[in-house]
Amino acid sequence: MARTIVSRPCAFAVTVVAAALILAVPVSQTIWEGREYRAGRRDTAIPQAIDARRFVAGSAAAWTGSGPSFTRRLSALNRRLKTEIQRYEDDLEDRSIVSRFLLPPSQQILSGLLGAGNEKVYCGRDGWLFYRQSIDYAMGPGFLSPRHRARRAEEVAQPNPLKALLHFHTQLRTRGIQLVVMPVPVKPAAHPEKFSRGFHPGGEILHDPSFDEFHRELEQAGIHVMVIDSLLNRMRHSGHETYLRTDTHWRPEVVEEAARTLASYLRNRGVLPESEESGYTHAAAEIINTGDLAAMLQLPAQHGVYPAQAVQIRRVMTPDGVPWQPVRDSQVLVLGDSYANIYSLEALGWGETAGFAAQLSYYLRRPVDCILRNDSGSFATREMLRDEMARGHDRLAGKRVVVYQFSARELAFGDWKLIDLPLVPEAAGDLFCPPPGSLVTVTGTVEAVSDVPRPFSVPYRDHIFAVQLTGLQMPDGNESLGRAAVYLWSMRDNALTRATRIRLGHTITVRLRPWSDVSDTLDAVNRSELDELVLAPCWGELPE
Amino acid sequence: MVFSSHVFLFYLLPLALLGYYALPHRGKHAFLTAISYLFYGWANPAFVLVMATSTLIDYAAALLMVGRLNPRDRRPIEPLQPGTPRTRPQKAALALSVISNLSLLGFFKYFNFAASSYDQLITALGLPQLGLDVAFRVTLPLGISFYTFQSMSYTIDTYRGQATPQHRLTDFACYVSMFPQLVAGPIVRYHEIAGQLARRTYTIASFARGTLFLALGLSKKVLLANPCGTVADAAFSAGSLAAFDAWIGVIAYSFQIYFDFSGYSDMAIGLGLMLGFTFPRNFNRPYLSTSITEFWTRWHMTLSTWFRSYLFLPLAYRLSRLLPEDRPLGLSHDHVVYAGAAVLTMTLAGLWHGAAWSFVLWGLYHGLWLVGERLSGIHRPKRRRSLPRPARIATTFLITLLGWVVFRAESLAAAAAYMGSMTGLGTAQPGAGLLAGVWQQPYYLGTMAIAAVVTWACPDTWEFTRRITGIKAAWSVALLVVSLLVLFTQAYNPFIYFIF
Repeated sequence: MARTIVSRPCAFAVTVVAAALILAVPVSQTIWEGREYRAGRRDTAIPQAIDARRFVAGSAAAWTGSGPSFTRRLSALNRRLKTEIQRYEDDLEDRSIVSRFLLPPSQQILSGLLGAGNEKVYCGRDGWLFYRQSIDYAMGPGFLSPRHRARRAEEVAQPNPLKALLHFHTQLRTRGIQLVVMPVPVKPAAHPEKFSRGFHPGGEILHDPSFDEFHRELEQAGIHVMVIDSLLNRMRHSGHETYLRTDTHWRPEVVEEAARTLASYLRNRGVLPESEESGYTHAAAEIINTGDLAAMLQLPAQHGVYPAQAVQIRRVMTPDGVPWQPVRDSQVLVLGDSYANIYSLEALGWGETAGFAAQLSYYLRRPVDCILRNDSGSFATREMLRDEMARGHDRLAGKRVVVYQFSARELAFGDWKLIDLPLVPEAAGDLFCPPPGSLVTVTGTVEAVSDVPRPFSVPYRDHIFAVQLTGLQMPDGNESLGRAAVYLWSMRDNALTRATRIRLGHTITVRLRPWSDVSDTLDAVNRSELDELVLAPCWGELPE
Repeated sequence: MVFSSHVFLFYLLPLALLGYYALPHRGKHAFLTAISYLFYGWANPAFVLVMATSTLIDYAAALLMVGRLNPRDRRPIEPLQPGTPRTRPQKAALALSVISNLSLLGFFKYFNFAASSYDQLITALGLPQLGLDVAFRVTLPLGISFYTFQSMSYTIDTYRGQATPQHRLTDFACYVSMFPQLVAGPIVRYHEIAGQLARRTYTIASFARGTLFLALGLSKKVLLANPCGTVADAAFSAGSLAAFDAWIGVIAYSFQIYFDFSGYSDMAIGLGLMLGFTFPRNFNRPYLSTSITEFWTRWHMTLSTWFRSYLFLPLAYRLSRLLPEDRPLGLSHDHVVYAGAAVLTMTLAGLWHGAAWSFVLWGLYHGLWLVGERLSGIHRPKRRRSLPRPARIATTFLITLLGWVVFRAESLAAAAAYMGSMTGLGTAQPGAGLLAGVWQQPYYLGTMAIAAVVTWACPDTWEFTRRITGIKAAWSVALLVVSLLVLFTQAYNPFIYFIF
């Protein structure tokens, strides 16, 4: 390398400015963390960057808890270290004060002015936003094509939706239950003209090249596939928007139309016996909200780039005038993802009791049961159904129809595991769980923690994680209660909760109640699980 | 760990620089080795065992060659005499080093590929019962292709008498593991850096130039490579595309891979300068090449040099002695020797990039172009003057683009399908038009336009930083600021060459 020609003051200035820029981040972070600690909002004075306690505790737990074999211990230690390193790095970024301060204005320029989007979101036209994976699905090769299968085979063990749905159908058929599959088209398939100029507003919705084959195979096996393309085309041709502008999901009118069409199909096919008039009514309400995609961009609070959108929902009310609720012993069970949760789960911000299950119940004129979970529609709800049955709650008892709704993009990107539904409940084991309706405060040592998503990196705002406690005792230390598996809030409205600071080896105090006390309202919230199925989980809250 | 990550830029880098300059010379190498192992083990702590194994074997093999395995023997080590015959133990030591390094590389990088290729072949022959059907998959340690080559260069240079073996393990471990160029090059051959390991000078001018290299490399990665990568990823994961969109996709990929890899090399060279080391140049505006022969003197220059020194030349020498002196196939002896050595070297260079048939084909494609140019005489500047220079540059770029399709596509079938889209064969699927919605956004279109200007109309980092003026310094610092701001909005941005 030839000699560098530079004046001494210039070289000095470059070095100092670059050093100041880089050092500004750790220095300001350390100062801020110190202030947070003095204000009682941090539990340690050790700066996060050099807080190695998690590595020590995690390594010790992995080493001692993986049996006597040296290679197994080494392997467990390596796995644990990888997990802790990833969490450490994520925490460092997520809790960076400089990042929090600079990201929103940077994103406003990049996305507001230049249409950059981010890893999860593409900017469309006329103020529309699109989920990146939905675009990939709409552009991608057919989900049953050899090329796509070869690509997916390296990512998940079972990428074939046909196999999983036929497996599910076989299990339901042995109990005399009809399976109805309902893949909801992705937003760019329904509104490609809002993403690319090459499409016309009145055109047909986009079809995956494999969809016809998928449809044919399932119908031949006796599974009805509820296709809403013609419904969407009809609404589009009459000039209506069918999806929300800054959200991943469909509009409330489409939800209602889809429910009405499905109800009509089920009635006409005689799948369900005739029912009396249920007395359900509709109550109109206006909801104004900003979509999940706009939230994922992390724009400044008053950005004005993607304004809130107003929609009219029709809430389903019982004859008593109370909001609709799912009924466990009804003949219809809806398994659904966020397309079923929207207008139903308050946390999504688009109102309550106007979601797909409620509207289906309204048009069927009968109660409906539902198991809903945002995201991972390819397996999450089937897994929840299996877990419920393993815990002794047979959600299939008395059912005539299971409606399995999921986003169509799951056909290409989902993990279509084959899930066996247990015929008899499993033994509950020795886990402590308070009796229904009771609340107890206990202390225990953290033995295992499930994964927590990074805020804004997932298409939901709330999340629950699981913690396994051991050495459980009442606060006075008199009574030993053994072990417990506890669900806690990990993320609320895209902000990590205090509970996510819990680390392996920590001793914590927590208020417990049985999960069954809260499952009706919290089951629909996304949740990560411990490695093993928990048969008697608790709901936990950390005292202030 | 990735250079363009929060944890590296704001925590490990300041720690490394502060610790390094606070220590005396003797402690610097041990500290740098420790930091490098931390840097390397960040992705998977178990991988440090692989690197440590390779390091220990080569350290011992080189000392064995000069008969100095006794650690208490502190006398200065003399290099072997070049050109003199080698003893059996010396040959055995070299074989130990080469075989162990290639075995590590072969197992970790090529086991999955070999097993699946064998199964495919056996199935195609109608003998599935003979298939291996191996259930376990080997995880590829980051940068293994780079550090095994570097480490091998040490023992080969020692064997040839071009380098003096290191007595101190920490010095040698520092050379192998040095974090700036550990996982994606430039590949620094031992004799190029041996002198610097013994003594080096630290100047504010070098440090400032290193800072500019770092800033410009980060800008290339964050501001150019990543957005181009978004367009390329969308195009290559799509089904059948319209011809124009397919061309946009591969052009975006050509910018992505160039700015990603040259950005990384710039950052590596910059970090080296900040630590007092001078690494060799790795890129010299490759898309300005007027032939494929010239392209390989400008693209990943340290790899080309490595292959030339350790594979092509020995191979050509062997071939020239094996082949008869008459004119086989009507070609001159030299042409046949060149053709054989070039095609084999480039095919292996392709395989070095990745364990897949598409990489083999990519290497073969470039090898055949090299041979074609040699036979037609196009590689000689005088013969190329029949076409104007811009046309020659455009032609070479076009040839490179077709190569990138094979390189980027997930399989040979996908590459063929993509080329079908580029030539307008076949029908674009209904959703294909969505790609235009990605690249027509001002951010992506603007980035590709800027990438084109930087590629063909701006000096590269090496030249730009040779004379640092106030304006250049201000530009570089401004780019550093913008890159850091954009970095906060990008969650994950691994370098392409990490997987090689």
